[in-house]
Amino acid sequence: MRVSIFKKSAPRSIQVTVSISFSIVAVICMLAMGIVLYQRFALRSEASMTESAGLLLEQTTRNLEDYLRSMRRMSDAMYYDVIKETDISADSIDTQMNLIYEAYKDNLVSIALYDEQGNLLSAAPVGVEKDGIDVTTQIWHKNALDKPENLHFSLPHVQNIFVDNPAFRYYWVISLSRATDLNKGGVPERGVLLVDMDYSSIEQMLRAVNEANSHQYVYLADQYGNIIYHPKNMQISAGLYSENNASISLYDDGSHKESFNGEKRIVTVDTISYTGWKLVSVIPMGNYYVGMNNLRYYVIMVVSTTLLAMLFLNRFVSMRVTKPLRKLNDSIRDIEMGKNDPDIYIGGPLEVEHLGRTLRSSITRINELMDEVVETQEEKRKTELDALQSQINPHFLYNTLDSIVWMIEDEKYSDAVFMITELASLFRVSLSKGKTIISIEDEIRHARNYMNIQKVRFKDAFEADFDIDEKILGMCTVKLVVQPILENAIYYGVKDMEDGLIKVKGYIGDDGDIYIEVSDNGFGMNEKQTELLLTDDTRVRKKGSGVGLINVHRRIQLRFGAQYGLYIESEPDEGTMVRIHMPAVEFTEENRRKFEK
Amino acid sequence: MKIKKKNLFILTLSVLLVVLITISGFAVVLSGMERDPYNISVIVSESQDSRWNMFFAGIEQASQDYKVKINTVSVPVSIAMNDEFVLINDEVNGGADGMIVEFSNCIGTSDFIGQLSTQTVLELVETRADADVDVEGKYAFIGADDNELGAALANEIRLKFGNSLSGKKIGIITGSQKQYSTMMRREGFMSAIETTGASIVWEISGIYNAEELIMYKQRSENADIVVAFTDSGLEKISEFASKYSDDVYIVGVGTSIQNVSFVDDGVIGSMVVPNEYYMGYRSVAAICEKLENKLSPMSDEIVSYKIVNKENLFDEANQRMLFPVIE
Repeated sequence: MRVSIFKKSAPRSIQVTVSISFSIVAVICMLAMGIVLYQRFALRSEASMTESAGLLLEQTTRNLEDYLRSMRRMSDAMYYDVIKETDISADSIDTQMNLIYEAYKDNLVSIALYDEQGNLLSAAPVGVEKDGIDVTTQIWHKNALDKPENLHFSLPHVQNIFVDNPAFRYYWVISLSRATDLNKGGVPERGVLLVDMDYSSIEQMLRAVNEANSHQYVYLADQYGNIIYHPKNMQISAGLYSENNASISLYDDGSHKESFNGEKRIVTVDTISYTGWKLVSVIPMGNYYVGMNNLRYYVIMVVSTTLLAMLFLNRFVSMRVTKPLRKLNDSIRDIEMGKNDPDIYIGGPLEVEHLGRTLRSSITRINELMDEVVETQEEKRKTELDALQSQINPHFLYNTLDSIVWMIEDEKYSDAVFMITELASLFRVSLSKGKTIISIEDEIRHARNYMNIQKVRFKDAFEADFDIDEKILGMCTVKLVVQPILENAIYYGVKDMEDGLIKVKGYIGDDGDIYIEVSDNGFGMNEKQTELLLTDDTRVRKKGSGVGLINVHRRIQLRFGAQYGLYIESEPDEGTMVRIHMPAVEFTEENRRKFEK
Repeated sequence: MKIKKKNLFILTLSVLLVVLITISGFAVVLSGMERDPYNISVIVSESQDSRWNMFFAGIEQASQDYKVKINTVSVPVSIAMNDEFVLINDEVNGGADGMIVEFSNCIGTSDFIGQLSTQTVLELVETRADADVDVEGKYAFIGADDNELGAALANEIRLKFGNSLSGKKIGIITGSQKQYSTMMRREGFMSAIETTGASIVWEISGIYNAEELIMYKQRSENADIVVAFTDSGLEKISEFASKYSDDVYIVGVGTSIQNVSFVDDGVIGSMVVPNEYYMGYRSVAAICEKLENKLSPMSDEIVSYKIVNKENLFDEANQRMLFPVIE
């Protein structure tokens, strides 16, 4: 079975659809823009930090190189200008050495010259060697003799040569040592020149670089990664901090990304000439990200505020845009609710205005068509009624004419004249120039004519009594409503009786309406038969004109309304009373047209 | 009032955005604010003494790393217990968020520590003190395992003279016996030395008039070996030995540059050096961690130690711990 992925949602209003669509688009766009801008800024910031670290390293490297170069020059001067030019066995170099020391003493702890066996030949400032000290075991001495062609910079260490003076004073130094050729009475001999540079000079230089209140720091290591300076050197020694200095020897100059102790870092390396030392800048990304938090929160705040503003703007715009549509929809709802003469909204944008106009013209057209249909139906009904009415004429006419013929044959000419006169009067009212609404006076006249004719026909087998209030004679009635009732009264009531009586009474009721009662003392009907007279229109009449009371009843209701019509009371062997109920409307041309329409 | 379904999306989004704006606004404001630095008071005996150099170097570094203000209070070694309590209370009343205390009087401090630990974050250094069982971790101790230090000193003597010390006379400078640190060092030493056959010929605690006292003891019972359980005691016996060329073999616990120099000069045969830089650093760090997260319990921390002598004094591994960088 195929399963629909998307559940069909309930239809939404245009405003909601527009508003939600705009909002979703705005959210996506703003989020995308926020993320892209943030990422862009973060990358730029990272690049800027890396660049800045590179510049800082470059500057620091230059300073360090200047410092080391000056130390090397000093060592060169001591070696080439003093040691090489002096016969050590004959002359002392203490004076020259002291002079050079004085010139560089801000950055120096001591200068010393040793022979290959570790004997002190000269030193500045003049110091006393510690008892039992053997410099040949010290790394700077070994390195100098192992590789005599090089200058050797040691790792920082506490000077362990001279007796501490003043007491309890130990110097952290970096030893610059080199092998020297000594001239001892013309005999060349190997020696070692030791320049102990004051470590605090380098430390101060690098501490100044690290003083900025940031988590970025710079440290110095030798080519093997052994730390020379680190702002957290004490913590590292105490086991409180660790550094990834072992990997530094693997790094070329430039920036590298690494992960150390679960932390991502940007490491920038710059190698210092002469020494192979590496100056390393470390930017811990964790702290960088913490530093970016402020920006992140700011971006979130700005994006959220913009989104909120856009949300309300979307809402406002969608309301404005859809307002004409909603008004048009309200108009359609009014039409649905059946409101008479609904006010179709025409306005808003061109398209909506066009819709409104089209709707209005459609509604007008529909109303016209409806009127036409109603009119057609009315016409049809009218035609049917006219046809029904016309059914009276041939049947009745045949009988009446037959009676007149019979009167003439019996030479009852006056009776024949009376019959013909009554018949003529009856037809005049029947025709009434095609009018449907006539005055009660004419209707009663028609009834009287009819009864006069019928009485002649039935040889006065029954009596007819008309009691009509004169006030109602000038009122409106539907044409030929009394005659069918009289016909029924005759054919089903009194025709076969000897003392039949039909009473016609017209009056204005307490409610102001007009009532015309036709009662007979005929055979009457049971309740069920009485009920069927006004409800069952399928019955086929066998007597009379064939016009049922139901037709009379409908004709009255069609013209005057459902509250009017016939009311029938009947008792078997007692008689029947049919009451016509109509509104009291004065018979004028205007009223006539109104009801006929 | 029932909210129309069509408005629910907009309403939910609006509420979400308002919440986001509020939170991020607060975050922006808060991230721009730095908390006031914590005030931590350090109360130790004779704080200006060089034996605390490495300890205070650790404290100084931690104060920079954790951004705290350090107030150091020096108390005399012989301070009376009540005076010590008053000094500490003054610091608490002065607004100290945390206190690093070396009690000079460690016995009978239970009630005081109980009360103090409710008012401030307390870190005991160097020596433990009487205190009720602290299941909530409201305070902690950081220092060396003193028993082990004492045993290490005994071990150094055995390394020098062999396991049998019969006939060897030992003099002891115990340091203040009001502190558990020195008591436990003595206990550890005694336990480790008792089987060697050495005899304790004299024992002194105070260091005032130490020179006369040591001279008196040495002249009456000339000890071959002197053991000092405190830096000051070690310094005094070393000064005495240097001054009077007494070739007594000296071992002890020390940290000061003077004692390092005595090791360098061969006056001190062997010295046990606790990692006091670590102790200082971690004492501040522990207080800050507790202040940052008040629900986390504090726990005791034992610091390591090194044994140095003339041969290994300048080893790369020892230099940083023994020789402060002089600017």
